[in-house]
Amino acid sequence: MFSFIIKRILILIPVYLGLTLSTFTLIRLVPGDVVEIMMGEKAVDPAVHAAAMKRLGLDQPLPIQYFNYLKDIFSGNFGTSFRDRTPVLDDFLSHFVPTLELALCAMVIATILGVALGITAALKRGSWLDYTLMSGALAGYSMPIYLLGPILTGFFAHYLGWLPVSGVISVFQFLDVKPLYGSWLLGSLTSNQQGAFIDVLKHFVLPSIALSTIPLAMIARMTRSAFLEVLGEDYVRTAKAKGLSPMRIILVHVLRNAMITVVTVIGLQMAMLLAGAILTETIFSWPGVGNWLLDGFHNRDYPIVQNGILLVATALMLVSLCVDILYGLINPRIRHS
Amino acid sequence: MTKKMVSQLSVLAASLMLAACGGGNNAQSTAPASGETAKTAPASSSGSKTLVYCSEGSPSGFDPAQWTDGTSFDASAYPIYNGLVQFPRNGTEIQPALAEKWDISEDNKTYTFHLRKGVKFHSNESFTPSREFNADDVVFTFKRLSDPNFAFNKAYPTEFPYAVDMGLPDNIANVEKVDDYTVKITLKEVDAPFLQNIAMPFAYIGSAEYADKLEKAGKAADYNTQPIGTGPFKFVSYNKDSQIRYAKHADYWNVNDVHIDNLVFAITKDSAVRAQKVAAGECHVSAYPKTAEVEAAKKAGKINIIEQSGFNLGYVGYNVEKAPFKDLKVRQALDMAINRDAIINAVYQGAGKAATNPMPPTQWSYNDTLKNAPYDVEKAKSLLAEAGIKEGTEIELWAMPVQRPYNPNAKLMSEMIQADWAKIGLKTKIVSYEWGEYLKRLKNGEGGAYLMGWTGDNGDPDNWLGNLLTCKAKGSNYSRFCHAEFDKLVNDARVLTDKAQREDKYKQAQVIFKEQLPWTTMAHSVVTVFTAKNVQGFEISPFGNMRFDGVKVE
Repeated sequence: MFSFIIKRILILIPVYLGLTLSTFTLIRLVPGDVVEIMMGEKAVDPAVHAAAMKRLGLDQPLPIQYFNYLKDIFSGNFGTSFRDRTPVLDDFLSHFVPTLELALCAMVIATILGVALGITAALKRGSWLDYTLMSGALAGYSMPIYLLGPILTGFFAHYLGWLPVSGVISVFQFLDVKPLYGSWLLGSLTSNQQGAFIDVLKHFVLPSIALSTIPLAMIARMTRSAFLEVLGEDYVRTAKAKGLSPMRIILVHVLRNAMITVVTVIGLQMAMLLAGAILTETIFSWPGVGNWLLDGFHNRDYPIVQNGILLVATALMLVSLCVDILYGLINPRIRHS
Repeated sequence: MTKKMVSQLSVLAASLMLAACGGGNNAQSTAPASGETAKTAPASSSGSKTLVYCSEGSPSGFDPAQWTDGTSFDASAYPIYNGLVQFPRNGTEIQPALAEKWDISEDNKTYTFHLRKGVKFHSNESFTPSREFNADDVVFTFKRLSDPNFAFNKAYPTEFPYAVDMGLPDNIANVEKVDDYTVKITLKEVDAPFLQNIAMPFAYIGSAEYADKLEKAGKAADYNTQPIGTGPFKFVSYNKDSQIRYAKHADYWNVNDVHIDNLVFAITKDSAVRAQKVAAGECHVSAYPKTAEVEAAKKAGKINIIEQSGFNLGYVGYNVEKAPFKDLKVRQALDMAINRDAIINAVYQGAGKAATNPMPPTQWSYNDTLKNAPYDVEKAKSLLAEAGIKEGTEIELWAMPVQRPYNPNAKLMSEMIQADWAKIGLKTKIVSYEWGEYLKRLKNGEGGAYLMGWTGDNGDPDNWLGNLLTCKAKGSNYSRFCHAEFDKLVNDARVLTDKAQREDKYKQAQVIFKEQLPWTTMAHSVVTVFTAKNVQGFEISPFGNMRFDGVKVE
């Protein structure tokens, strides 16, 4: 297992080099002058423009800029934002943690419900329940977040008044609560303000549901297919013939083998959630990494785009590594091959 | 068999769900039992007043000298700082602030400011002021803006685009402390809008003592992230893209004008979400709604809707150096072929007023005798024929890729103009670039006809005519308009201090503008702010700023 992990880590070196080169090049290929964008329609004096370009290091030739960028990364310096001059690493952590928490919450909902619904549909194959569940999954998969989000807030926050519209905490009531390591959940837990943690949890509900819809549908469909496939295998027939209890057959023989496919889907979906929660973050005013990267891109904030993507990619690779390790644990044959 | 299995699995799934969701509840319920002292009741329930403003974005920072966007000014200058002079909450005429009064020398070049006494700076965890505001702070602020070799500028290098744009570094000859409460600023040349200019956020006064302490500690950049000012609210904390917190400055020199104890900016980028949050009572004030949201809010009647003409102008500009737009007849033809009223109805949807002059009607020196040419397709056609433009000639119209207060839908506006110009036999190609590229190319003179606009900065006519239409206007004169007579009037007006004389020259300049038509003036938008029913005293500044001094929450 150890050598398997080392191999996976070594593969990352060329991946990282490719990533730095592509983000560095691509963001510079996008038209738009950093300083002009910062100033908008207000005029930029040529002297001010030149001074800003020099301060930002953009007056250097591109190869030197790239070399300096790599040098900084190797020395652990992820740069500072062009726009507000905050360290990119600090910014990343304060935005990534809320996204990670939201994505995990959404994944818990999606996995538990998705697996349960998928198994139910597989066991009830061909019945009205199967059709209903799979039609629901298709509808969930097709439902865009920009539509689902406002529907959810309109009903639960506006009409029923049960849940907050957006944000991570009711600032009105909980003025003294601050995020801890970027986490509002931890911040509210350690603030000793009664009700703060429940309040933060309430803020998690609607964005988590909105974000979980697509992976839930995906996991339900994949679980159903994988389950049906395994149910038809010889060893399941053998197990049945041996007179094993149905619960044992499902949990030990079918679920374990079907989960290999499902874990792949969960891993991929988790990566997608981390990278693509932008719409949900916008609709629910979530201070997440998606919005942060998008803003960085709009402002041509090169350090945020370059290093932010690198850091997000690192997180995604870690997720992928975890999925691979999980594979190995579920099915040792994969690890050895 | 399967029925039993399904029910067992369902129970398993349900238990897992409950475990996942219930973890929080358990943790919360154990908190009081752990023996930790529960904090005193939250501020809002202990009788103190909190106002939550749903702001539209994160500020670039909290040093108003180096930023140029309204979002940053709202979060930095107005709550935290004061200027020597300031604009009132609802006007464009300057009033005393940290300077109680001022004298102007006979040659109109030296301004002597008599400073307010007893003004206290904020404090934070790392800084407690040892003295009150005095002349040293004014000298620090203006030296910083005008002298690139000033020590603090070496410790914390940054640019001051607004100060440069207003010509401050070039024009300030000397900043001198006469005594602790008197400062003399000497200009190289007469600059009539000087007081208006320094009422803008970029010239708001910082603490010299704080800057000195930061510089010595090697933390000069904290000036932007841990601001210290004299303003109505002191900065407490900032969580990027989430919230900014301020507390009432109990020692504020005008403390009777501050009625809230806590001010929170809840950063909410989506305008529909902001509208929902005001309606749901999650924030008290929210700005920049879309037209449909205003209509919905009017119908629902749950919140107050404040509307005011924006201090802005959206226009169609013509590059007068480029064919065919360099021909006045072509510009006249294009101008009278635009069905302005139809466009305003469609684009601004009731939230825009037709514009005639290159400034809004609330700007002093506005020439109200001017009129737009009537919409006349036939006359436009004949003008084009006179200019030798053949039917089917192709021209370009550049459309901004962004929504701005002065133009909520540039794409639609460009399409309607395209249809209008088709009626006079022109083929119009709509061109759009990414915003930064759009501005850069326009400044390079690549555009022909283009959509653009302006929001007034300082309530001075020079901010419109001088900044946007004179020969030496740096960059913002996208039309490259350079008319000797117009230029002389505007430049002469700039160095006059007699307001009536200035007004006369600006009015004459507007007549020339209307004759020469470097722009077709389209509309002034209406600025709308939503407030909760229990908010009182909120006023929309003509400049569109959000200020919460003077605001009450019942």
